[in-house]
Amino acid sequence: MSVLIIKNLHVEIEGKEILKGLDLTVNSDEIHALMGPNGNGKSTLLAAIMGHPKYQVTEGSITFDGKDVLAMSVDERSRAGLFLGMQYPQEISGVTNSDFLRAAMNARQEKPVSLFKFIKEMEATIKELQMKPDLAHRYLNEGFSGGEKKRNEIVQMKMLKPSLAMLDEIDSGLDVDALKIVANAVVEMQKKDHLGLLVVSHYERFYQLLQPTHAHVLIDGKIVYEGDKSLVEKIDREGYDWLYQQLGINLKKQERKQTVSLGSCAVQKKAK
Amino acid sequence: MQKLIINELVENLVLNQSEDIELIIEAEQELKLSIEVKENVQCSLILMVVRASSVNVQLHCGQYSQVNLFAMNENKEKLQLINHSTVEEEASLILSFAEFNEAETSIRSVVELSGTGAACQMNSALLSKTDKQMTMTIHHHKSNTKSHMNHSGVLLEGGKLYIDATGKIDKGAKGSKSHQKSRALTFDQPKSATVLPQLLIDENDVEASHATSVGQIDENQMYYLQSRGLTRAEATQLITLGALMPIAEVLNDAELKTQMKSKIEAKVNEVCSM
Repeated sequence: MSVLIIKNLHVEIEGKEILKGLDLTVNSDEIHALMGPNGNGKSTLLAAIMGHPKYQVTEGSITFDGKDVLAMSVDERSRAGLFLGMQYPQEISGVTNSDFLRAAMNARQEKPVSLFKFIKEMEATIKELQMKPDLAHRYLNEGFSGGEKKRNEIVQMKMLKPSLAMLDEIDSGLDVDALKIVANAVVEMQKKDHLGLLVVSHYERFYQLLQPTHAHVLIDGKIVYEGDKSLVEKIDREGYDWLYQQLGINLKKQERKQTVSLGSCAVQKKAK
Repeated sequence: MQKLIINELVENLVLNQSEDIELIIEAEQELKLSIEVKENVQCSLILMVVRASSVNVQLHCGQYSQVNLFAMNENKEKLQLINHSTVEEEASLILSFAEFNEAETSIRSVVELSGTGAACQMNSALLSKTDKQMTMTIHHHKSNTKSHMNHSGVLLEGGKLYIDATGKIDKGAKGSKSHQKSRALTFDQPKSATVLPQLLIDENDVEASHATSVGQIDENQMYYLQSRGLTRAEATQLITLGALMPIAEVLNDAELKTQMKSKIEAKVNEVCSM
C-alpha cells in the first residue's frame, strides 16, 4: 500500500503563486481525475510533486509513504516510486530508448537487470502499446510524432513499475485507437500492480476508459469541488459555469489592456 | 580485416578490388599517404593514428566507388592531420574523425565533389580536455552532389574547441544538397567552444541548411532523465554518450562497432565520474 498526502500546498513559479493551499490524498488502487479549466494549476501540481526545479514550494507538505517528498531530489522521488508521464516529453539525441530505459531500471535496483530479461520485457511492452519494433533502437523521442511520444511515456511507466503514477494530458495527441491502447495498458497495469493514479485530462473519453474512483476540480490554485466519475460526466456535458455559480466564484478576470493599433484613432478608442 | 602498419614516409595505396583494411600509422616524421580507390570498388578503411606528428592523407574515390574512411586518433602528442579527398561521379564517401585522446589536434579536411551525383557524409566526434581545431570544407563542383556534415564535441574543463565547417556550392551545380549540423556541449565555460558554420552558395537551384548549438546541457533534458530515476551524474553521462556514440554507427564491421562503442563508453565513464 502506498499513499501520497499533500497538505496545504503553495507553489510559485518565478514569483507568481500558482497553487494556493491544496490538499489531496491518493492511495494505492485509487484513480483520481484532476480537472479544471486551463491555467489553474493542474500541471503545476504534478510538476511540483515530481520536483521540477522551476517550481518553488513555499508552504505545505508532500509525503509519500510517510517520507518527506520535498526533501528529495527529482531522481530520489522517481526511485521512491513516483512517476510522471509528461505532457511534453524531451527529445534526447544519440541516446537510444533501450540504453536509457536500462540505465533507469538499473538505477532503482542493486543488481543490474540481465540483458536477456530486459530485452524480453521491452519487446513485450512495445508490442502491448502497438509501437514499431524498432522503438528500442531509436533515439529517445527524437523525431517521434506527438502520439508516439505519449505512448513512449507509457512504455517507460510499464518498465519502471512505479507505485504512484501521474499522467499529464497523456491523451492529447493520441488518435482514437491509440487512446484505447494507452488506456488499456494503464488500466491493466493499475489493476495488476494496485497502482495509485493521478490523471490530468480534458477529455471525458479517456476518463471513461480509466473509470476514475475520485474526481477533483482545481480552480485558481485550490481544489474547489470533489466527487466521483459522475462529476467527470457532468463537466463534460455542462462545462464549468455551473460550478462557478454554485460556488459563487468570481473569477477575477485579469484586466486586459486594449491594444490600439497604429493607424486607428487612439483618442476615439479611449472614448468608447 | 587486413592490417597494414605504415611507417614509411610516403606510401601509395591503390585499391582495385573491394576490401577492408586497417591502416595503423606509426611514424617518426611527417607522413604522406595517398589512397586511390578505383571505379566501382567498395571499401572500408580504418586509419588508426598511433604515433605521428603530421599526417597528410590524399584520397581519390573513383566513379561509382563507395568508400568509408574512419580516422581514429590515439596519438599521445600533438597531431596535424591534413586530408584532401576527391569524389568522382556517383561515388560516395563517408569520412569520420574520432578524437578521444588527450593530445592537441588540428585537422584540415577538404572534400571535392568533382563528379555528378557524388556524395559525402562527414562526421566527427570529440571529447576533449585540450585544444582541438577542425577546419572542414565540402566543395560541390557538379550537379546533384550531396553532402552532410555532422560534428559533435564535448568539452571538459580546460578543453578548447574550434570548428569551422563550410559547405561550398559552385555555380552550375544544380540540384545539390549541402547540410550540416554541429553541436558542442560544454561543462566549463561556454566560451571555450567556437563553431563557425558556413554556406557559400553560387547556384540558386540547391538545398542547404545548417544547425548549430553551443552550450551547457539543457536543464529540461536533465529534469526529464532525473524524473526517471537517474542521478545528475548518470544523466550527464548519458547525454554525453548520446553526443558521441552515433559516430560508431558508420562502421560496417559489427565487431569494430562494438569495440568502438565500448571504447567511447569507457572514456566517457572515466571522465564523467571524476
